[in-house]
Parts: sequence; structure tokens; C-alpha cells
Amino acid sequence: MTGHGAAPAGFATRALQAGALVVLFGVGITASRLAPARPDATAALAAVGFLLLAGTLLSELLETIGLPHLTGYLLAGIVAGPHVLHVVDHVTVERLAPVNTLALALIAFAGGAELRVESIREVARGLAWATLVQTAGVLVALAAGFAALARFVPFTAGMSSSALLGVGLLWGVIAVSRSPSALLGILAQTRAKGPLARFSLAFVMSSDVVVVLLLAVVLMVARPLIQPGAALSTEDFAVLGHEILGSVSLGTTLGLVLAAYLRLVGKNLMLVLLALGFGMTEALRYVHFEPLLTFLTAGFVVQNLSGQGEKLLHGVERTSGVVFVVFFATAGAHLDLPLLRSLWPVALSLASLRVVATWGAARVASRLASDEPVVRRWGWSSLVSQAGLSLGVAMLIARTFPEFGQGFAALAVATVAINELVGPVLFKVALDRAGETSTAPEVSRPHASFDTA
Amino acid sequence: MSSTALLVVLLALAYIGSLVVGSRGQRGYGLTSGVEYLLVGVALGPHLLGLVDRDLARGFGPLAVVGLGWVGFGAGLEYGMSGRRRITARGAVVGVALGLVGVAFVGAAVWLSLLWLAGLGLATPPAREALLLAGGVGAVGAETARHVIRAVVERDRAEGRLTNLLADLAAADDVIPVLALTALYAFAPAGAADGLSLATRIGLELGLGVLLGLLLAALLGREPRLAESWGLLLGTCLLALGVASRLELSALAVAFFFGLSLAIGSRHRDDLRDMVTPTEQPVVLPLLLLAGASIDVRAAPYLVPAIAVGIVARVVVKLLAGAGVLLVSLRARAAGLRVGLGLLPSGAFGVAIGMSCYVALPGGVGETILAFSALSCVVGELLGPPAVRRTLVAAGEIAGAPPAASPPGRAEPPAAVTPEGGA
Repeated sequence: MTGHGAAPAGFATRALQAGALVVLFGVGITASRLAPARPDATAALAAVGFLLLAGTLLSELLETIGLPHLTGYLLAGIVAGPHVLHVVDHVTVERLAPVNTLALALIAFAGGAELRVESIREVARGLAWATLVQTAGVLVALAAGFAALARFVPFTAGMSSSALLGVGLLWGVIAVSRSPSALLGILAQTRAKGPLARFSLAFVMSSDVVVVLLLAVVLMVARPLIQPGAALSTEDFAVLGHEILGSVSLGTTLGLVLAAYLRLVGKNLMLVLLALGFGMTEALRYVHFEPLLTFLTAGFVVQNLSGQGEKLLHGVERTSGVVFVVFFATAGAHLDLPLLRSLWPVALSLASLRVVATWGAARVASRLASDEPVVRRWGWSSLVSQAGLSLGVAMLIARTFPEFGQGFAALAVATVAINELVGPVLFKVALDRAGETSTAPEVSRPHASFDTA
Repeated sequence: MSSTALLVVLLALAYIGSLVVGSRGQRGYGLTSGVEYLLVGVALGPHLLGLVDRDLARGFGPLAVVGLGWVGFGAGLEYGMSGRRRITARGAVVGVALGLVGVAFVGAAVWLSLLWLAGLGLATPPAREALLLAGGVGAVGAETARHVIRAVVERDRAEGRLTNLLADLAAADDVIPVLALTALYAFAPAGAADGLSLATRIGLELGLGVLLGLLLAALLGREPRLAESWGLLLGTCLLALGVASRLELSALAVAFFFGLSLAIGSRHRDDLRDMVTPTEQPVVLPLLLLAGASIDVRAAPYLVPAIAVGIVARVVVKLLAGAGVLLVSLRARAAGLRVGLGLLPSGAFGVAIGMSCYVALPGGVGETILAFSALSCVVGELLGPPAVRRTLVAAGEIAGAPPAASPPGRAEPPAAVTPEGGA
């Protein structure tokens, strides 16, 4: 197998991988025809194994035409999923939700640990301008765009113009959300270093916090616009304040404890991260704190308030390699292709508008901040990807406004699907063009050892 | 308890397991078979403290499948090797033969005892289930725990031909319980894949493992990289276990053949073993606890007599095996029949075979086999390691012990022993 930057694999290796992929699909299809999936968790075992293997092999094959690994994982999921070959069915896809939980926790840990104070200082000016311009620009552009395209959107039929404005603002929040997982996936593959990678990392990670805040504000503003009887309530702010402060406090504590553990014990980090990813997320949801923010803070604290950041990053990297493949392949299997087929004209228009708005906002912000040329030229490329966070926001909005929530969520899923497929490719191309992709060969491990200790 | 909570508990157990293995190693303290964890499981189970009830234990079922598969995979990967040393052809042949005799003898004894109990008018399982029960007990009874022999050898720094022979026998006989388990699963009442014939089911169990093992060996190629190796290894293994579960085949058997074919087909066998070995104990510890907590000695009226007969038959067949060893090893004669007791240890692999039967055969049959595997482990721990030690002392293969007096004119030459002479 080859990693990025390794010597390119020959024809024989690629042929072997293609053959293995065919065998793999043969095994999967035969098993699913011979016996239906059992209604217990053992059905998920085959699915995880299948997606892990198929994702890895397909990503290797697609690498030959310059596509990122992440695209391979997504495509493997789509092909194996319930809408194409049906090797992985709907129920099993739902059963794999814990993998998403774990992946998001690891993404947040890694994201926080990657945010070094000195790096943020270097891009602070650009980051501040980008946050301001991207948030305002994309929110306004997409809200207006949505309102303009409303006649093609079935669930907005009969809505008043103020309600359309409210729904448009909610759509704008979804458009502002980015994908930390896609960003980290691409950075892990390319091992890119440089101003573009640094800026993208700082911006996308911090944008999570912005989205959480923005969502609460927009929910508060949109409610009276959409529901005429509703009044502007500041209760959402109180709830939000509690959530954010609680998450940051708990994240700080967790970070300090984790730093102490890494310093004093340092063993079994993989098991500790797994237990935190599963157990702590559940506990945080129970107390209505935001897991992503908590783990992000914890990673940040470990990196910047202790000398254990590299250990944490190394541990997360080893755990996440496998988890990310399953996470993205599951996301691919989750894509509702029939829905995408029926909504693609509107979804494509909105996705295109978002790319244009993001590009325009990036140009303006870069000029205001006097960013380096490479950031000015390619800074927008990392902001196109969308994934779990965007879908999470869409589901929350759908629950909050059940009168149009189902249609809204469906359109969001279709749009995110497009961004999910296009975004990683764009960012990888940008990193390659910017010359930030690592070309150093990956260290070969003929004597690989697995350290649980 | 929610599935997440269960998972966290399991991870905590795995954490403790890896700490234990990290601190104790092969030469340190702790019982060689890991029977103490089995007993802790019994203590936590419904018979004593009641902290883990049977529903909770059953909730771990899918995770148990992963554990069983991982144990099977490790055993397959290591099969035919004793540490870094390939076992001798003689050891392999004798070990397999003794394993076959063990399955047949213990199984037959249990089956006859069930017939006898039925003749007395006591409740026994129907004929098909009685055969499955006898086969399952036989499969567990045939095994000799290679880790136990290895632990004794390493702790006492034993070296020599008899040491190697015992290690070889323990390493060679694992394939017999796995084959027996393959047949049992094929013969057992199936659900989802009920339409498949017996031969097809056996063929699938063997074929699936071999196909995926060779596929992985080809994919790992010449220069495996850590990240990809783990992704491919875990992916293939989970796929094998998942498909096996879906078709109601034995996860342990499929994983064993997967590991075996991978070891045969890949040039990185030693590297793979180095990757997998540290992960075995964290998996085994929760599995032993779970097995202990699942035991219910009141599950069937025939459970206690069947277990008693099985244990006695196992001791007898191991003594007979000892007699066989005396025929092929002159050094063993100094220890006499005691050498047979040295083949009595049973450990995590035996319990895993018992758990596999428990998963596949709900009701009294599976319960009896699981309980037998647990008791076999306890008896093996009590009698086995001391017998191995005394045998090797008598043979002069433990440092500081006087050399064995070989019969005149038939002295064996000193053995060329590797430092990792254990199993």
C-alpha cells in the first residue's frame, strides 16, 4: 500500500488493489444475498470491515488520478450503501452512529491540539477579518439567494416574505458551517505545511464556535419572522451561554486531566481516547454541553498549557486513521441519492452560490487583512467542504421548525452532499498548487509494532 | 444499561487488561491461564454478587463475537510457531494426533454418560443436542494452553528437548478444537443461513477465512506501513467476523483460518504477530470476565454430571497422552506419567471455544460446554503448571535442577534450544 508522498505504486499493485476490491464486493454481495442482516449489532461488524477495506482500497486507486483519499472513502460508502449495491443497508448505517460520535470527538481533540497559540498569532489578523467577512457575507448572500430561489423550493410554497427571510437566514447559518473533519482528513493525508494549511486549520476550527453562536442568534431572530405569534426571546442566549461556558470549563478541566495523565502515565492512550470519545460524549449530551467544543478546548489546553500536545496528536493520529475511513464511508452510505436526484437543480444552485460567496468573501477578507498571496488565492478552498456539523445544524433547525423542517433538512442533505464531494477535491488541488503538500516519503514500517502501552 | 455504557465498561476492562499484561509480562506474577479473571467473572455474576446479571452479560454478545474472533485470529497467526521458533514436524504430528484422540475420547465419554443418564430416566438433551454437547466438551477438552506452558518455561528458564516438545505439542493441537468447532457450527441448528448444506457451511467457514487471509497477505505486499496495515488488518478481520456472524458460522473458526492463511501467505508474519500480540490480553481479560459472569450451573439437570465426566475423561486422556510422550521422548521417562498432567492446562483459548459453543447453542447444551471450559481451566491451573515444572525438573531442563538420568546407551544429545523456546 502507499501513502501520500510514498513512491508511486506500480501497475501490478494497482491491479491487485482493483482485484481485491472486486473480490471484496463479491464477498459482501454474496453474504447479503445468502442471509439477510441480523437485527443485532453483529451486522455492523461486517459493515465496518467492508467500509474500512473498500474505502482504503478505493482511495488508493483514486489517488492515481489525484483525488483525495476522502473522496475514495465517500465513494466506497455510496457504492456499498443502500441506494446502489445494498451491501450495507439502512439499519446498519444507522447502527454505525457511534463511529461518527467517536470520529467527531477525535476530530475535535486533534483540531484543538493543532491550534497553537503562536500559530494563531501569526494568522490572527487574517483570521479575524475572515471570520467577520465570511460569516456576514456568506450569511447574507445565501439568505438572499435562498429567498430568490424560493419559487423552486417546494416547502416554501405559500410562505410570507418575512417567513422566507427567516428561512433564508437559517439557510445562511448552514452555509456558514464548514467541515473540520474533511479539513483534518486532507491535512492528514497530504501532511501539508505552510501558510494555507495554517490559515485553513485555524479558521475552520474556530468557525465551529462561530456557528454555534450564530445559530443561537439566528434562531432567536428567525422565530418571530417565521412564526408570527412568537416573540423575540433572549432565553436562547441564556441557554447558549450556559452551554458554551460549561463546555469550555469542562473542556479546560478535561484538558488539564488529560495533560496530567499523558505526563504521569502516558500509556494506553488509544483506549483512553476511545473511552472518552464514546463515554464522555454521552455524558456531555446528557448535561446539554457541546461535545465538539469541550473536546476542542481540551485539545487546545493540552497543546498550549502543557508540553504534552505532540503526544496527544500522535495518539489521536493513530486512532483516527482507521476511524476516519469508516466515518467518511458511512457518510457516503448515508447519502440519500434519490433525494439528491429529485432536488439536484436547487441544491446545485445553492451549493454554487455558496462557493461563489465564499470565494468573494475570502478575496475581500484577504485584501483587508493583507494576507500572504497563497492565502489570498486559495484561502477559500478549504471552506467549501461540509459534513457532519452542517447536517447536525440542519437537523436541529428541522426539529425547531417542524412546519417546514422535513423539506428543509432534505434540501440541506442534498446540498451538503454536493459540498462533501466537491470540497475535499478543491482543497487538495489548492494545497498541491500552493506547494504545501508534503513530498517526503512516508516512513516504511517493516517491523510495525502496535503500542497499547 | 445503554450500549455506550457497556462499551465504556468494556474499554475500561481492556485498559486494566493491558496494564496487567504490561506490568506482569510472562515472567512476573499472576496465574498463567488467567483463571483469576474467570473467577472474578463468576463472583460478579448472578450466583454470587449479582452485579452482572444474565441479561447484561448477553448484552455483550456482539462484543464477545469480536473478542472470540480476535482470540481465534491470534491463535491462527501463531499456529505452528513456538515463540519465534517453528515447531518440529514430530511435535506437530504428535500434537495433532493427541488432539484428535482428546476430542474423540472426551466426547465419547460425555456422550456415553448422557446415554447412561437417559437409561436411568434422568433428563438429558435429545440425540442431536447430546452429540453437539459431547462434541463441544470434546473440543474444549482436547486443547492444551500453549501460553501456560510458555509461562512456566519462561518463569523457570527451562531449556531442552522435552521443553521444546511440550511447547510444540501445546502449539500444534489448537487446530483440532477449531476444526471440531467448525463441524459443530455446521451441524448446529442454523437460522439465517438454514438453507445451506452441511458441506457448504463447513466449506464457507474454511473458505471465507482462507480467502480473506490470502487477500490480505497479497495487499500487505512487500512493505506494509503501520497505518495501512492496521486499517487493512482490522477491516479484513471485522469483515470476516461480520460475514461469519451473518451466516451463523463460527467467528472464532473463521478468524483462526484467516490468521493461519495470512501467516502462511505473508512474508510479514513476525511483524504481524508483533502487532497483534500486545492486543490479545486486553481482549482476553473482558472475555474471561464475561464468560465467568455467564456461567449458570443450574441451567440444565445434566450439567453437573456431564462436566464431571468430561473433567475425569480429560485427565485420563491427558495421562494417556503422557504415555504417548514417553514413547517419543527419553527425557520424559524420568518424570513418568506426570508428564501427561503437564498437558492438562487450559486457558483463554479453551474458554473461547466454550464461549463460541455458548453463543451458538443456546440453552443447556451451550451452558454446559461453557461451564466445562471454565472448570477445565481451573483444574488445569491447579494441576498443570506444577506438573510441567516437576516434569522439566526431573528431566533436568530447569536451571539448577540435576540432569535426568538417561537409560544407558540411549542418551539424547543436548538440544539446540532457542532463547524463545516456549510456546
